Amino acid sequence: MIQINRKKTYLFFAGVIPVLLILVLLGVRWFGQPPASVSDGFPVQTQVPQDGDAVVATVNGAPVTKKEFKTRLPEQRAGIMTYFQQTYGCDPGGTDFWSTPCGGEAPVARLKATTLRLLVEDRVRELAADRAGISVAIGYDAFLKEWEAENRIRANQLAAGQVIYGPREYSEPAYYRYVVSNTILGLKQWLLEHDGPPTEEQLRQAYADSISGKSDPPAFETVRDALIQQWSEERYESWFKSQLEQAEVEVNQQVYEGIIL
Amino acid sequence: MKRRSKAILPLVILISLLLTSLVSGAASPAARAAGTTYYVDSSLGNDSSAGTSEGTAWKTLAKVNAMTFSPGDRILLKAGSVWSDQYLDLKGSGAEGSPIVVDQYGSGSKPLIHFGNTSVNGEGFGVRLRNVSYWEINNLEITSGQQPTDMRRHGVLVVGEGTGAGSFMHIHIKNLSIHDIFGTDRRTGGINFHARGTNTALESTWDGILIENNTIINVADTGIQTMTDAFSNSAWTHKSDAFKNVVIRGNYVEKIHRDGILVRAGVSPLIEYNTTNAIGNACDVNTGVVSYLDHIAVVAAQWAYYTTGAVFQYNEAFDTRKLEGDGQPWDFDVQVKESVYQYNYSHNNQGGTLLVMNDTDENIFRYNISQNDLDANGAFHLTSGGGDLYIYNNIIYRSGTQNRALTHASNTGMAYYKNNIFYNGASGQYTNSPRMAYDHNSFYGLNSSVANDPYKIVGDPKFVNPNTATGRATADGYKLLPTSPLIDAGVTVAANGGKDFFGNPLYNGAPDIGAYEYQGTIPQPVTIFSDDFEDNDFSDWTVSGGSWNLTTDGSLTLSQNTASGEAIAYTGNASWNDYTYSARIKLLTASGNVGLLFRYVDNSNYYTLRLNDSGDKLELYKKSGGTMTLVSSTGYAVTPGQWAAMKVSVSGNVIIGYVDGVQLLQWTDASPLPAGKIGIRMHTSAARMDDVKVVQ
Repeated sequence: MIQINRKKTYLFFAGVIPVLLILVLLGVRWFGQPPASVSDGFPVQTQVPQDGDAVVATVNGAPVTKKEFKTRLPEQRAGIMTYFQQTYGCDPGGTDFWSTPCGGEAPVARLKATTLRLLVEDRVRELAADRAGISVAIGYDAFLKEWEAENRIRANQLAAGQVIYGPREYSEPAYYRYVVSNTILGLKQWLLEHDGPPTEEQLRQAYADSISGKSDPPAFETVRDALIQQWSEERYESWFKSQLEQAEVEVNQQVYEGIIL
Repeated sequence: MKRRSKAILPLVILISLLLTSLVSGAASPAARAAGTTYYVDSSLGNDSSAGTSEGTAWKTLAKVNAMTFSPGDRILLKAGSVWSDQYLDLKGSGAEGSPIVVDQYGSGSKPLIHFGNTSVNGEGFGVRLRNVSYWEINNLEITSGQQPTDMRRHGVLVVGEGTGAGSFMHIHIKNLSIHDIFGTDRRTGGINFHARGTNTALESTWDGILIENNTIINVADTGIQTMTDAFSNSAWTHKSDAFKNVVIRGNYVEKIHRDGILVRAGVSPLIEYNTTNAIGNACDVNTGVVSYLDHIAVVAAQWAYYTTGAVFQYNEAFDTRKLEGDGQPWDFDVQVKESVYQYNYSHNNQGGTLLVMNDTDENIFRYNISQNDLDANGAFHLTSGGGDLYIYNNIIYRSGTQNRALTHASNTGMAYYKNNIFYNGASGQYTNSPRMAYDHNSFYGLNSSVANDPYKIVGDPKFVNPNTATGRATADGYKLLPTSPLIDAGVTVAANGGKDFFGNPLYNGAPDIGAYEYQGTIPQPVTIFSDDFEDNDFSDWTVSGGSWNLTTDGSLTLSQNTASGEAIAYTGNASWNDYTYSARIKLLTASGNVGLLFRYVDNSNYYTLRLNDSGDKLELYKKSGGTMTLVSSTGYAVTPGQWAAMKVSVSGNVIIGYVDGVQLLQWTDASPLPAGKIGIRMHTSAARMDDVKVVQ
């Protein structure tokens, strides 16, 4: 296990990624395996154990499992493709795009780092919500159970001729977004109750900032509600950033490296 | 796997070729064009191959775009494939019963079309269906990412324009994952149908649109929309009916720059089982790259425009943003008529719950639940110029910081509020206006006495467990407890949709107030005292002052015959606390008064609800420690010599007074007399009473 504390988190992302890239590339050679074959445009490893419960990382002690990691990984593909194409002009349609270094980094390494960051955020948010008394599943297994239960309830109620709202069956990605959004809403509300609403002076300042340089700015009262919401948003963002910075993240390097698209 | 692939591949190709040749041989040349399945594999495909088997798959979408497809054809994209800087621009039309189908094959991630900064005639898209009919698009992931070039972009663009524009049929779009697409104006976004052209161009319409189970996230401008340029083309005739048989179902729409789901020019569209979240200026976007997003002033989540007969049901909407205005989940917008929102659930929407715009008419908002929507424009916002609107059996629950109005009226049509529950655990007033009518609503919490509802109920609705709906498949917490005063307390609404929020048939006995029709049998009120004096006996009444006897007036009545000083008769039990007391009363003295006594402790401590012919009033007095105080009063035409059916209901600290079945008066006592007997009182007046009843 490598341990990454709050101060080293970004160091990890900045510094370890090239190392991981090298390890991934070298790994194939070390074990004498043929280079990862290419299927569907992605390198595929055949001999990685299919152990979904393996722990990729822990966040304040809560695990990120391999199963979860591999679920979220493909969802980040498109963003990573855009990044490398726009930043370095590499062709995401190229056969070896994911494994070929582009701008000094293999896209797959950045894809994994981005996925890990997302999952660290998920765990930190879940744990914080739990502390705030907001009902939330912590970890992927709990999430899957909740998702399955949600769909089961929906199916049962539809079968009984009862009313539900929203999709009759949530896909896993859509339910994930639904839960994340509601958790954030709950945390914003909790922060608002915890800290109180913005003062009139803060709102006036936010308004002054927002109209700076605008030739035909809306009146203060017109945007007052929006400014309160913006204040709440920024309060949440800054609070969450500090939560992330305080998080103790430990990455199991062996499992992490073993994950290939 | 690679070695295995190598070994197996020739065999797969051989078998595929064999199968293909068998199929080809069996079909006539004419039939061969129809019903062909084409395969596309971004990794192992080859555009020089036949494309008609997995082993001979094409590689690029350009190859697909070069084909004109025929009825029954299928274009299958391999799961896990990725196409960068490519798009599908599909040509040809299917036929009734033989649509052309795009889908995935194999297992794994949905085929990904990343169309990047590509464009055709100045606009980008993942999939375009231009001037075609009978297509079904399934199971694709579509994105462009953040692109610096300012242009229109669409996940899926269905467009009728130019040569070939006209009447199109059957476009089904299902199970797509569309995300991170940013366009320059409001004609862009996730899934766009657009009848496009100038005033002299051919006009397009569609019949048979299904948009189902798609996920649309982080898109500018709008998530899902139908649009016709008929709004700006005087020669085009389909301003209100360009889109027929539209179903938008089961979609999840999040982080949208403008509106969530918007149907324009629709005829009876069905919008159901959708969830929208974070609508309005809500994209995660680097404005350093995407610098061209429209300034947005107003949005709503799921709404219609120039549409008749829309049904929005079973939808959830939350976190719709109030920018410079609006910000509601639901909106009967301009020229929306005979449409309905029913069985929807909204929460945390910044603008309120419902927006109703001008030139709307005969719309219905029923059996919806709003749980702590915010209130930038109040719970209901009815703008000037709206028509008739029927708002019934909804629950508006607020327990946060809301402080704006819970109800509203337009300046033109009527707004009819019936059987709704307004649970005001926060703040905010009720609007009274000649352009609105309240009838049998429940008003609980602050300002509950304000609304001019002759049949209002102000007691606790007694929900099972309110404010617990988030994250649940239903809102069971908004069902009523058996002890709720709202059960069987509503007014019948004709053509009510036939079921409540929970799917129960309407009605179970008399209508309930709120979105839930109570399903059990409820304990009937128990009569704890009655006296019609037909036994020719009033010895169980205690009298004080006046001269009392039993007098026949149709039947035997208790009569006090001396118009001088205070006269009181009382009976019952000093421990009676909450009850409803009714009696027929006849005042015999012009300019006199007579009232019901309740929670009577002694001659110095009681309440009386009285008719006062002097000034024609119904008055509520409290006498405490010998001091008589008028606490509430309302105009009422008292006619001496005529019977009036008086009733008073006292529950906790709330007192409600009725005459002839109409609630006329209500008052909340901060320090109530807790219990007491019932009776009759008059001063300098003669009067009679009959048919006394006390129920609990």
